[in-house]
Amino acid sequence: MIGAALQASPTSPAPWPGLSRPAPFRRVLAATAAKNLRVARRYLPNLLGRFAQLGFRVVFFLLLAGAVAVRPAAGAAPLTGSELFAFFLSGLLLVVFIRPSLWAPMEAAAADLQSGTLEYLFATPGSRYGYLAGAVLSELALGLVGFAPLFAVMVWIARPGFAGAALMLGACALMLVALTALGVMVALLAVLWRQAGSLAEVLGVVFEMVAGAYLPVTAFPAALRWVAHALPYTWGYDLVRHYALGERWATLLPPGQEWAMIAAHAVAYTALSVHLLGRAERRAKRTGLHLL
Amino acid sequence: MIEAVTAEAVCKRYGAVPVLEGASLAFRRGETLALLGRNGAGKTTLVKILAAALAKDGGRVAVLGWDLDRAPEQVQHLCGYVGQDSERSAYPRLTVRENLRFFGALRGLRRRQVDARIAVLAGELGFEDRLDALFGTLSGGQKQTAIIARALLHDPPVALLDEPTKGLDPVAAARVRGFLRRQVRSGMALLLTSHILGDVDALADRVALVHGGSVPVSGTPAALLGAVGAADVVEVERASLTARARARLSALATVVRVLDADPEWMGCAIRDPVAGLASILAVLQAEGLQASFRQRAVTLQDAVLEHLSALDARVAA
Repeated sequence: MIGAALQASPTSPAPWPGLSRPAPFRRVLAATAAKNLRVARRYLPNLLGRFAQLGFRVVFFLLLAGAVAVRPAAGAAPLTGSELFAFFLSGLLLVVFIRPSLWAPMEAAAADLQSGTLEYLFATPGSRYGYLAGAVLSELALGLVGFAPLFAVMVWIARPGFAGAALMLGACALMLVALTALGVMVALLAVLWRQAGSLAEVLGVVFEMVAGAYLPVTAFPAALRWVAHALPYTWGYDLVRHYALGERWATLLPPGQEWAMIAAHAVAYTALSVHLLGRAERRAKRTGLHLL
Repeated sequence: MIEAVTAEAVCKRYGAVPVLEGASLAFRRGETLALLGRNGAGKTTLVKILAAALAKDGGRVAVLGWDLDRAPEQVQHLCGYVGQDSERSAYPRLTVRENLRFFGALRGLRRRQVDARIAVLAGELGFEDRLDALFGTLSGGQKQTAIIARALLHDPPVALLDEPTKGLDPVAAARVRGFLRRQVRSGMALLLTSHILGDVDALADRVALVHGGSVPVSGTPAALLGAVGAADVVEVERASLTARARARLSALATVVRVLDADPEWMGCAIRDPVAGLASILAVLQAEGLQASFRQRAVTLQDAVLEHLSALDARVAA
């Protein structure tokens, strides 16, 4: 009877254990991010196009800042010129990371599903979270190339001081944790539904437009404001603007509470993405990855 | 002694379509089991389940004593897996070496270990000169060789290979077979599926037939051949035969059975190569027919086809 051989642990150790060892999160994360960066370097036109797109956006908002005025809150004096450009740059600092980190992991997961790589991954003991988060991490690393000059320009224009600049960076870093978890969740959409590009597109638009990247949330109708308050980006943009514009910018909540909101979102998204990852793999294996 | 892999009453459905309905098999260390069957019989599904790449709906699986349901990670550590059509399942814009290093990292291998294994496998499987070529620039067969290397990168005690030599040229296929044979001799347990019966002939210690969602027949190739009950096959061109001649040949006492799988040649399995041939020629002469014929030994393919026909007949009955 083979039933006797079915144990939670073997009745005798395998004399040929093989070389496979647990591949923890950080090792898979680093290997995947390095792999993706290497691949990105070999698709140079993609990379150049991406930075060119960012350059055009910056120029557009520079021109816009000279042509319009934005009232940060009802009754407040409008932002114009360099102040308004700092307002737009605050949005762009985070927008730099949104689209690639939502799109790229999903596209990578969809391609890996199509080619059979994901099936192979699911047959290894390597950390799945490390694999998907590695795809996000490499995109965030590439995003830093655009972020760094934008941040320098922002500091030059807004002169927030050392503490202000450090807090601005801290807010962005905390946002990236939430973004990584979101990226993993969006990649899971591809695992479950293969073609989920338009859903990621919707998320990107929501995080840019509804969260107030280019307009103050206070200018939105009440219903949209409620939606905005449920998004981590709203608090990220708000905090960056608080440290960039100082007293010229009234935050939606006291800054301490906004930090707590971002941290809560980051923790909640991370926990949710870990949970969903397990469920998505179980469902994919039940259905058969080749049939997804 | 613990079997390397045991599967007991494994079931799997894709939606409403049942693919496996109580499939069982077992094989040991130092043994090669070849899984054969028609297209869509469920071989690939069974291999995926054993490799923990697909969830089963029922039944039990253990690898070196580890229960797949209770310790899936242990099973994944112990198995090397090549999926069907997996020659695209590496990164085209990375070199072969970079791909293998990445997949090695997924198995917790350190850089030095991976590089040492890459050197061994590239030498054994003959792709040292392509290690630094982009994977996407390789031919289909070269990609398949690299994918086989990926499966064996962590020196697994159990290898589950779904059509491993598909797309390989004869030289590369022979090289892969030779390496796998040496691995099995060293104690690896190998399960392979293949439609290339040359692979099965060269590698398999035992053969298992997947049919109707289960594994109703398994045994050594010699036992499967023995079940045909003949030593030789005389094949007569069908186009030259009349219905009466076909009936007379089928009724000959020396013809153990008629092999009907080939649409162009009627196969007459005979126990005595000399007397059998003489009786067949006598029928052709008596019927006044000039028919092409050829004589050969019974092959594993004949045996497999006979078993599958018998299984079909049993299901139909």
